[in-house]
Amino acid sequence: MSLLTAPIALLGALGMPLFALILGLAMVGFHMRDIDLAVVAVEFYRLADTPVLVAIPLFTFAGYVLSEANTSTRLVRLTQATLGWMPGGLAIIALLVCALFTAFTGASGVTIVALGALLLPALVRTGYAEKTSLGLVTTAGALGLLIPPSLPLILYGIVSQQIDANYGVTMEKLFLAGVGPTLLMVTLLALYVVWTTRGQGIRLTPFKGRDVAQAAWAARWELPMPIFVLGGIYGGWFAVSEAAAVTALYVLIVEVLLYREIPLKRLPGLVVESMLMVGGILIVLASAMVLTNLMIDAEVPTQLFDFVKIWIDDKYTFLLVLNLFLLLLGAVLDIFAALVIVVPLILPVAAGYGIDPVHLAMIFLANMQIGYLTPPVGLNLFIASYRFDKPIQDIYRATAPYIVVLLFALGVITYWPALSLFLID
Amino acid sequence: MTHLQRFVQALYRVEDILLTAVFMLMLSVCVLQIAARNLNFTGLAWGDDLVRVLVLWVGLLGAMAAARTDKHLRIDLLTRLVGVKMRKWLICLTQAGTAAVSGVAAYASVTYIQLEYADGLIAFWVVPVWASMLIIPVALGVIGLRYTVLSLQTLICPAEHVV
Repeated sequence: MSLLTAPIALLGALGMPLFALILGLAMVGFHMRDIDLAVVAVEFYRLADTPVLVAIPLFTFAGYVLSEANTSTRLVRLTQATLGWMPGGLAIIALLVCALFTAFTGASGVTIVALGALLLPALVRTGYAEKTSLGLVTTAGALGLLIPPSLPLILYGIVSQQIDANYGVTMEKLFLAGVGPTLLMVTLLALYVVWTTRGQGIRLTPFKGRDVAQAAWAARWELPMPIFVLGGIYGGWFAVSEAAAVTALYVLIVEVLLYREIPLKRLPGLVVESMLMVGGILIVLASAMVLTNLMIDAEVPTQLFDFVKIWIDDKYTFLLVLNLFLLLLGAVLDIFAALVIVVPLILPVAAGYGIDPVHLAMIFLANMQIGYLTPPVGLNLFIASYRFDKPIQDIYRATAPYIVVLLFALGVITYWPALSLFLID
Repeated sequence: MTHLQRFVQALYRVEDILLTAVFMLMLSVCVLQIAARNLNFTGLAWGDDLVRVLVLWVGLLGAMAAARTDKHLRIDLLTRLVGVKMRKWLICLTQAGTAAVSGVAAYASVTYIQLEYADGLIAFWVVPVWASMLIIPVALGVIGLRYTVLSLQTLICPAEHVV
């Protein structure tokens, strides 16, 4: 039976779906330990035993509806009217709007598709060089993973609670932790753009109260959304799953009945498309729970910690090695798969070095965010290449300087835990 | 369109309708429960349990639908680097492997559901746990069948047309 491990792993490297790779390896492992494979059904049924999980289909559906409606246009118009007068204003708008949009629509690359076509021409028209704009939009599309209600953030919470509730990771803590790191990344990227484009004669949009009022009026139904989602959760009015249900319902009412941008008969199609993505994530999650069960049974996390401890004595070296590992991981593995497979392994090890699991979430996601932009499989590079009809090499070159900025931010996030933890008691 | 194609299309429609219905039911029950809690009327005593089972169903029905066109998450590194002929064989092989894993997992879950059936525990309202679990072998089985068909299609397809 153990002879099967290598061929399955090889098939995985050759492009077999991840759920089959993980499930195959786990089943071989259980069989070798003489444990009945019925454990598969037990672990899959745990999908029905995790109350907060309902947030994933509901937020994903809301995100699909928002990206199908003209929300992105209204959002850009409003921020441009409000912030367009500032030096680097449009660059900051691109960063903020993309981060918000990614947080609300999941991390599927939809941000570049929905917002790229608006932001790139706008940036070039105002006088930003094409290369700068291309890099900026591609990079901005990856921001937002660390702020609620981003799916990877919720998934990290679910996975860490399933390993051991004693780590004390709650959704509320995760939702607060991402604020500092995200502001840092947006600020550094904005400063970089302002600095590189100084003296290039970039036109600013004068501030007109009338434009702001008109843009705000156009977006009047969508504006309250972040307020009641985030306010509802932070204020303790809603649990995360409740906020997801309210958001999904609200988005439906607003886009279908009030703006009437999505015809009723389009809804089943949107449900199916969004649940295709959810199904893809949840079956990997369920398979990873089977594998995690095996690894805990075989005491893999403890052995891993003992092994790492031989080579690395201090927390700071561990963090450095962890970052290098995660950067590589993010370059080859999809964020959701990386989350459900790797977090159960590294969370106990990191906790052994005294790293706060909430801080670890920020380090993990900041790495995965850079993974969206690094070759060979950085998703955003391909989407940008496709969307803007540019060769992928151009996108690599345009994005490279922004990656350097993000790596610097990653260093700060890693070695300054208070940035992530200052809002949490 | 052949009879078989027509049958498959009809099956897709039924699945899509079921998926949409389960999703809408999940959303409605969630909203109802929130309204009940905040407006002080009695919601469904078993509403929260129902929602959790529906999440399982939505997820696995979605995973089944994703298998129609091989839309599952993967590490796609090597197939980009090899020639078309080699690529065809690699894809065919990974699809067959997926079919085999799903098939074994489906079989294993059926045996577990038989045990649950004997226990007769209730998941929510009057619905037993074994019935709520039925989607697990069904989804894994359908995914297995779909990947069997996909690998056969890849096998007979000319190498240049394999996507």
